[in-house]
This record gives sequence, structure tokens and C-alpha cells, in this order.
Amino acid sequence: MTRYQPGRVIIEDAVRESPITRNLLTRIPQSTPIEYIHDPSPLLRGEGYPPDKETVLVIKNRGRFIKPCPGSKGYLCCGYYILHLALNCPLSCSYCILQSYLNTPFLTIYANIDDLTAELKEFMEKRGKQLYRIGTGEFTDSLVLDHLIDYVDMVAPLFSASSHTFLELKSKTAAIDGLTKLKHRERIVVSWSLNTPKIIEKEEFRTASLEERIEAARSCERMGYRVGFHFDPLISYPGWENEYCGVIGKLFDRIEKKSIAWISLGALRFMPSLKKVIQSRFPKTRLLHEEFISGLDGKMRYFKPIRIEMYTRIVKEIRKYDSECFVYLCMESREVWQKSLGRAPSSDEELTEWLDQRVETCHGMSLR
Amino acid sequence: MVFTYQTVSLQEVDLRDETFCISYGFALDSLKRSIEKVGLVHPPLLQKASHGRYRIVCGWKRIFALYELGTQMFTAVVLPEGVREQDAFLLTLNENLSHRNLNPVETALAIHKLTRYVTLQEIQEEFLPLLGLGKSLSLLKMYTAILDLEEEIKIGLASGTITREIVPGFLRFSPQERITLSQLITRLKLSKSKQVELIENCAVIKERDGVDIESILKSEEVNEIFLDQKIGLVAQGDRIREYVRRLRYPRLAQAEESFRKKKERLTLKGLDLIPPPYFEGEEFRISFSFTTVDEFKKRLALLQTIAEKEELKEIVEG
Repeated sequence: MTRYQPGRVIIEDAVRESPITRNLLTRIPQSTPIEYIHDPSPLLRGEGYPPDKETVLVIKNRGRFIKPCPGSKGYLCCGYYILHLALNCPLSCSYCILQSYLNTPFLTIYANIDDLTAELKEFMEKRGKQLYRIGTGEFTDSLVLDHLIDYVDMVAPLFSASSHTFLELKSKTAAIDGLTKLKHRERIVVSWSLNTPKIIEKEEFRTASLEERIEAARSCERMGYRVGFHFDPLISYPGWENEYCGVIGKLFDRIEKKSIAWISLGALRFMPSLKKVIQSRFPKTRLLHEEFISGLDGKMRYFKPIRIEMYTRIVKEIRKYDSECFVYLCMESREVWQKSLGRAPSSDEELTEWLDQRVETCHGMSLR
Repeated sequence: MVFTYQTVSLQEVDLRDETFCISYGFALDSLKRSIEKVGLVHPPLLQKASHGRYRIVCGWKRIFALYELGTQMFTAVVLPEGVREQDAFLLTLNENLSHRNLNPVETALAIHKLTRYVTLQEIQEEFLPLLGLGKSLSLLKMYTAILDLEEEIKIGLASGTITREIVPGFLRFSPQERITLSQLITRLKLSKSKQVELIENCAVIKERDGVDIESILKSEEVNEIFLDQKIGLVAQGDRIREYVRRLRYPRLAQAEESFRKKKERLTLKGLDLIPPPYFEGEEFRISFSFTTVDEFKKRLALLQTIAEKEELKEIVEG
């Protein structure tokens, strides 16, 4: 995949001197048009602007940087925290929820790194010895902008201050340069969202190929990082079974099972409003042809037996290679957990506990 | 702009010159009756074209009504020389919008004709709001597609029997399939939401299963529904939609059927067992009504019996 370069950059005056802004300005072609603005709010509201992945908006985040994962009513949530470094993504996945979730049409980078540092410090102090998993890959791809702003290099060291907070970087790219020079690797899990070659080709535009993702994971493994994999979204289509099994085979062929922190599974789900966006932007997609129903949280999901069938099959395949592999479901009900994995957490808290224990095991620590 | 009133012969008007025509699907009966009774109150607006004859700027219905009434001479307002075609078109567009709503085909015609004079972006920014369509690019695309649809469908759109919301869906079918679908919709007098549901489900079945939609809509099952004299149009529509829905959601339909059979075996006299919506949650509901205490006790006794049945366990625990 080619590295992203913005076609235009708009910078809020308040973050002109930020190291993130400085990094960006030294790494884009000199011909890139740059504008400085005092008040970015009309741009953030997106009034009259169509989606625009070519324009990067560099602004001050006026809200919180760290927020709990909102979870989904009626489904189990793992107690994850989200670190908001940026909004939107230059990759172009047909199913991406950000297409209907965000108002702002631009790729937005939060550049007030000092405020982030202060907030993270306060977050760690307040929570004492409780364990927290924080990820940056929910509202953007964790690595796709790293070659422009060196986020990983700035953010990862902040996690060395606490032995109880873990950073997960989630990506669909192979942009791991920033990870090679990083000194603080012990509290980082680098994860890849995986899918079948067919889905990557037809639905995940501008992303790295499966080979590139697994190769990047292998490189990270060699550098001493723990790696994670997310089969999310799992997509049902004719032939899914063989093709997902093929991906799992390739994964375990290349990655040592002891390096895998976790594998999560989550079947495709989306807010109903996304359907029209997908149909309009990706008219050739066959994603919407499966049997979707309205879930307990109002999101469209595959009919339950389809999800159970997919999870059961994929878990069985993973177990073939590693019977101990830590597999969890993202935003699923207890019933689906039980029927797919043969066990189910009784609550969000228990699931959180399971994941926390897994982090402890991975890192050979006793935090309690 | 100085307009002149002139008496014009109908023969001097080029009825085939549709440069400014944005009228579609109009009925002339009431207008003809009015002209017969009180005459032509509002004279049409004409422009002298380069070929020497007049072309109609505003008043298509009036002129066609006069034509059908056999009128030879009428009073018209004529645009002064030198008025640009673009300005004359904007005049007719604004004049029409000042006193009526355009039907979807007329809106499509207006947009199509505007593309001769302004850019698509100008249409989106300036003219869509004027047409009451916000600034939506997807609506612009949808209206642009209307003119390529078959005449039968355009007539349905203009008359309101076919809703504009299904136009994007229609484009997923072959012309012949579209005709079959539009005939079905018109025959069943389906509401907007039912049309949208039917078209969406048929489109997915066609694309997913690679079938010709005609083979479904002209199948024996659909034919039997039409032949059933005991049910009315609404019930026929519901059954056909249900038939299509089962093809679109085979596994859900199978689960519903299985639940129905198990429920039947429970023999719920006077009680109803309601599953979670789409079988997604875990919460079942029982409902019953009663008019006397005795009846209430009977229902409770039945509930007690049902609670012991294996079928209930099967339904609830799966």
C-alpha cells in the first residue's frame, strides 16, 4: 500500500507550535497547500462539506482524550478505553462505521500533545493499581498517520510511567517504522485487523494486503512486541468458511502462538444509517446481502445463528493451532458466547477481568 | 423585460419544440372544461424561435387543451427578442414553482434541462433548494436517473403510484424486470414503505442468488395469491411481500416457521407466546386477556401446564 499524503492541510492557530504540527509540516511535500485558521468549529460541524480524506485538519482537542468504549446495549463489553488521537481515517473500508458516526468530513488530528500527556498522567494516577487497556484504533487507524506525525513515538513512552496501563495499537496497515525505534515496548500490544484476501480486495480499499499485515506482525514479534489479531468485522459470504480458515492457517504458520496476546472476533454490525452510505459510496458491494436483523442495540447484525455458526467455526480452527489461545468476542451476548466458545462471562466486569488477566499473563506480571 | 400580448394561431406554435417543457403526466379534462366555460384566463408565454415559429415557454397544458378543443386562435404573451434561452428557461422554472409542486419526472426534467446552462455543482447548491430538495448529492443523482427509466415507470412516478424512493433500487434491475415490478406495485397499490421494502428485497435476491426477478414475481406461489378470491388487495400485497421476504431472509423465515410449529404443539388456548424480536434477545413474553376471575384462573392453570411441557423448554432454551 502507498503511504498517505494529504492534499491540503488546515491548521488551527492554537496548535501551530505543537510538535505534531511541526512533524507534519516537515514530512509533507512543500507544494501541499496549508491554511491557518483561528476557529475550526464550522469545519468540524462539516457544514456543506462532502467527505474529504485528502484534507487534514490539525486542531486542539477541546474534549477528553481518554474515553471509555461506549459499549453496546444488551451486549458484553470488555471495558476498553479509547485514546482519541485523531478522527477519521485515510483508509477506505466500505463497512467503516465512521462514515455515518462522525460529523466532520475531514481527517482530523489532535495536536495538543501536552494536554494529552497531562490527561493520561491524571488518568493513571487516579486509577492507582487497577489495570487499563487503552487503544487508539477506534476512531482512526493507529499507525496510518505515524509516518507523518510520529504519534507512536510520542504516545508510547507515556505508558512507561504506569505499570497498569496498556496501549493497544490497531491497524490495517504495515506502517511499523515508528515501532522499530521505540524503546518502551513492554506495555504495548500491536494488533492487526484481519480479513480474507477477498474482503480486503473488495471492501478494504487503500489498506495493506493480508500478507503485508501478517509480515508486519511477524516483524513486530521479532522486535519483542506482543501482537493481537482482530477478525472484526467477520463477513459472511459464499466461501467464507474456507477463506477465513486459510487466513488462520497463514497466521499460525507465521506467528509464534506464544506471541499472540489475543484474538478477537466480531461479526459485521452497523448503525442502520450506514446502509445508505454504503450503498451510495460502494454500489458494487455485496456486504449487505446477508440476513441482517436489528439487534438489541439498534445496530444491524447478522441473524444470531449465522453469527454463532461463524464464531464456532473460526474458534474451532484457531483451537486446531493453539488450544490455549485467548479468544474473545466483541459486543456479543452471553448466549452467543456460550454457544460459540462454550463459556460466557456473566457480566461486562467479568469479561474485563478476563482480558486484564490475559494482559497480566502475557506480560508475566502479578498486578493484584 | 417588455412582454407583448398577441393573437397567435395554433399552427404558428411548434408543439414539438420541448426546449422549455418541464410538464409531464398531466391530465387536461378539468382545464378543458374551464376553458370551455370561462375561456383562457392566463395566456401562455411564447418565444419566437429562429425557425420562425413560436415555441412554448410557459403554458404547455393550456396550449394542449386548446389543441384538443380545436381552438385555432388564442391570445399569448410573447417574450421580447434577444432573451437568452437560459433566461427563458429560468423564467418557466420559477413560474412553475410559484404555483405548483413538480412531480418527480418534472423535477428530473427540470434538472436535466438545467445541466445545459449551469454546472452540476450550481444545480446542487442553488437549484436543488429551489426545488425543495435540500443540497443532497444523492438526490441529484437519483433525479438524474429518472429520465432513463421506462415510460410506464415514469407515468407511475408522475401519478404518485410509484414512489421516487425506489428509483435507486429500480436501477439494479433490467428494463423488463422494472416493468414487471412497477406493474406489481401499481396493481397492489402498495404504500411507499412497502414499495421500498419489496424493491430492496427483490434486488438483494436477484444479486445474491443470481435469479431473474420475473421468475419469482410470476411464479406459481405469487400466481396462487392473485387467484385467491377470498382475500382483498391489501392482504394479497402482504402475502406477496411475505413470500419475497422469506426468500430474502431464508434462515430467519425458517426460524420463524420452526417457532410457529413448536408454539402450535404447546396448544396455547387463549394465550400467546411472543419470542424476542428476530430471536435476538432472550426475553419471551406471554400475553393473555380475560373478562372474569374464572377465566383468569383458567389461564393461570393453562400456564402451569405449559410450564411443564418439553416443547416450552425447547423453545426457550433452544
